[in-house]
This record gives sequence, structure tokens and C-alpha cells, in this order.
Amino acid sequence: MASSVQDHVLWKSYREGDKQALGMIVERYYRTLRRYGLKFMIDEAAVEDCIQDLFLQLWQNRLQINDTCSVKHYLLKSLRSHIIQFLRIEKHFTHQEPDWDTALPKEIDVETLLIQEEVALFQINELKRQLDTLPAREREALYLKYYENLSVAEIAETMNVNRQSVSNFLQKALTKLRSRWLVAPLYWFICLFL
Amino acid sequence: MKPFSNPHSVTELLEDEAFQRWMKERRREDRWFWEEWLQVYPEKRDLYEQAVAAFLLIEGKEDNLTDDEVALKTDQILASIPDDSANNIKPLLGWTWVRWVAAAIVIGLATWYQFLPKPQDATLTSRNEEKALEEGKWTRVSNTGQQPMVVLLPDNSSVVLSQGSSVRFRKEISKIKREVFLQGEGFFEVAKDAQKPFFVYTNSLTTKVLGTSFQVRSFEGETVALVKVKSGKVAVTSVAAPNKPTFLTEHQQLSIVTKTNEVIQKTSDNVAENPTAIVNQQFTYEFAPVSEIFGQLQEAYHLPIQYDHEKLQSCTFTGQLNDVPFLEKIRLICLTIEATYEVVDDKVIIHSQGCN
Repeated sequence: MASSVQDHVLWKSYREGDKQALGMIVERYYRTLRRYGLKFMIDEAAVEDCIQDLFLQLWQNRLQINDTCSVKHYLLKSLRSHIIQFLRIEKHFTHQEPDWDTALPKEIDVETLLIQEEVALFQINELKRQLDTLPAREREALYLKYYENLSVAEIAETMNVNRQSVSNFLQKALTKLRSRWLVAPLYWFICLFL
Repeated sequence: MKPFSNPHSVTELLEDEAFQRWMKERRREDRWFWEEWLQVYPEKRDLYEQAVAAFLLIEGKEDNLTDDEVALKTDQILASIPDDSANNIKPLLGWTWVRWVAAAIVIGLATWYQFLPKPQDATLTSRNEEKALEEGKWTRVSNTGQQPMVVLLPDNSSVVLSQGSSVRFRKEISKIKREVFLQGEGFFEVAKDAQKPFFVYTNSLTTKVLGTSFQVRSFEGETVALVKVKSGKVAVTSVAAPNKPTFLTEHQQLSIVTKTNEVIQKTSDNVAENPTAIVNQQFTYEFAPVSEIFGQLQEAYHLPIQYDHEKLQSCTFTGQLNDVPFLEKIRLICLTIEATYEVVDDKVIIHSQGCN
């Protein structure tokens, strides 16, 4: 993929002291980081502060920072640890797992997405019921896997758990989803013939 | 455009890069692609719809910045980075390092302070002597009256101060934190501001919060100091152990024996003890006449509220005002009934055109 080559080049230039290269990394990943940070249910200003701290630290430690195969993964992992630190210091959350925002999109543009409205709403509500029973960390694993496209190994490193746990999280989450997928068509079948 | 893939499961589709890009960016050319895809594989429509639903759930609430906003944030971050690319020593003095030293100094000072000989009659002012020196920047309010009084703090938080108690606070809001020194008893309703923690210091304990309501009692002559939480979560540390916080949540309370600084209990709150105390009162309303609410607030906060009875006759309010400071309660009610308010000479004046 073209952008990963560029990431790699930018990362190298930044480590050699090119501030503009770091700026381009910021611009490229700001949305990704902010979206991920906001999932931890802390306010916007705090997330933005954490992102700023993260880049400040990256700059100050650039001589100690290694090459990375995925800049995105590196940044997500670093942001998570900044946020955990913020929660510990500011909110005294010492033993708790961070929260995970499970709010739905505000509006769903069914026409653009090529789906029928009633089908979509039904599917989403049923799936939501299943997913809402999952703990925060399993929701997070699901997000990193299917939204950010990280590998199981990368997710394990980001969330600071072993690979097996990540596989288990995903397995559990997908079982929930699948049980839904098996029932849904049956529901429509029944509806059609009643 | 890559050739049509033919996924057999929802997860396969969810993992498909083209699908992910379509869902994230929703480009027009991708829409054509998926429209055609659905025509080629009509039997996969179900699968497609399930994958879309699953993706939307996983993606969650969208909150996207525009390109301009991202550019602005990038500039801000770059501006915060010092221009010292030639300086190679700097990285060794990274932020973490500085922070740890700062933390160590704070802990060191706190520990050092703890071992200082304490005079028998240590008062709040002597404990914070150097703070008292800048008295010009501080406001001190004492309640010498016969009933509790409300004190409005600069950050819009409020304290209901019991008889014989006093509070001291900065006239101007500090950029880092909000601090109040209390002698006696106060019921605090703290305006939410996660960026600026709110501290209440007394001779025997410190309470830290970010936005909540709670009562603190620490009279000099009394042997027990008390913190009681009405809503939210607070961290209480005794002066004896400044780095061992105890966390309290709704309806919990903590007492400290002031002589020994020993934490003696952390029990559930018994509302029946004193139902009229503001810490036990509920401010939840359903189509309640606004004049009645003002009556309750007037009594709870001991602050007169002045309004035109006739004009407010048909105004009602529904909602809960438990977790917000006094002025915020007033503001929220005014917002609902389209009125305005001002605080003049220790009373609140409501300006309203009435409700229809």
C-alpha cells in the first residue's frame, strides 16, 4: 500500500530531526487518534491534551525511538498508554479497566449505504443487544480489529495483554455476532409468511 | 479497483479492505462498485447488510473533524514543540523525567511536612501560612449568622456553609486547579471541569473531586472530621497519609479521628438521620411549578430568590438538578422557562415574560 511506504519515509525523516515530517504524521493520524481516544469516555480536551503530549514526547525522544513496521499501530499503542496514565493521575482509576463508548452513530445514511432502512435498524438493534453484553476490553479488541485493521499481535501489544487473550476476546465477540446472524434471516422468513 | 471478491462470511467481508474503505470514506466510485457487487451476488445481500450493521456498531458514534480543524490541531501541536533540533541533550530530560521529579518533590514535601512538629492549636491559616500571606488574592467568607448560607465560588461551584464555619478561596480562577480551605462544615456542589480538579482542604483531611456534590465537616473543637458524598466520586486523604486516598462514591461517608488522624469508618449513608439536610435532599421534578422549586431552593440554600409570582404562575420544570451547583440549578430552570437571572446583593432576581 502506497501510504505505508510514505509512513515509513516520514517516520525516518522525523527521527532524523525533520519537524515537518512529524507534522505530516500528526495530520495523517489526528482523526484516528482522536476517535480512538474519545472511546475511553474522557472529555475532548483531555484526549487532545494526551495526543499533544504523545507527539511532544515523540519529538523529545526521537533519538531513542526505533523504526516501526506500522506507524499507526505505534501511535495507537502510545496514545492508549498516555490515556491510561491520564486516568490514573487525574481520576485515580488504579485498578479499573478503562470504559469504552458504545454509543451508536447519530444518523445512518441508509440510502448511501445501499441498505433498506427497516432491515438496517432491525439488524443494528439486535446486534447492539448482543454486543452490549460484552465487556469494554472486548469491544475495544473488536474496534481495533475491524475498524483500525490491526493484527491480533498488534492488538495484544496495544492493549497490553497476550495474543491468546485477544483471540479469546474476538472469538467471544464474534460468537455473539454470529448467533445473531443465524437468527436474523429466520426472523425475516417468519415475517414474510405471517 | 480490485476484482470482485466473493466473501463467504460476514467476518470475511468485515476484514475486506475495500469494504472497510467504503464504509469509512463512502466515496462515490466505491458506491458504484458495491451497487454492482450486490447485483452480481444478489444472494449476498443479507451478508452485506449484516456486515454494514456490524461495522456501524463497531465504529460507533462519529465525530469527525474537518480538514481545516485537523490542520489547525496539527499547527498547535507543532507550535508546542520547541525548535531545538540541534540540541541532543534534551531527549534525556524528557517530560516523563521532569514529571517524576516533580511528583517526587511533591511527595517529599508532603512527607516532610507530616513530620514537622505540629503546634497544639494548629489552625487552617497557620497550616497554610504562605498562602495566607497572599491574602489579597483570596476571599474569605465566614458564616456568623444563625442559619446556613450559600457561597458562590468564582468557578460557579457553590458551598452551603453551616453556622460558625468559614471558607477561603482564590478570587480569580487558577489555570490548574480549584482550591477551597474550609473550617467547619460545608456542603459542596462542584461545577464539572475535568481539567481542573477541585480540592477542599481542612485541618485533618483533603477531598479531591472533579465535579460532584458532597459535605465536609471538620470543626476545630470536634474530635471527628467527616466527608459525606451525595453524588459522583471523590478522593479523600487524611493529612497523616497524604498519598493514600480513600475513594468514596454516592451515599458513602468517611470519618477521621482528628487527634490521631485515624480513619475510623466508611459506612453507607443513613438518610433518615437528618432528612432536611441539603446533603439528603432530592432536587428531582416532574412538571413541578417553578415557584415551588424556587421555594425549595430558597430554603435549602438560604438565599432569597426574587421573581414575579403572577408571571411564573404557569411555568413548570421537569428534570433532576441533584448534581449541579446552585447557580447552575437556577440557570437550567431559567433556560427551560426562557427567563434570565442575575445575582444582586445576596439575592437572585429572575426576569421572566411568563410561560404559556
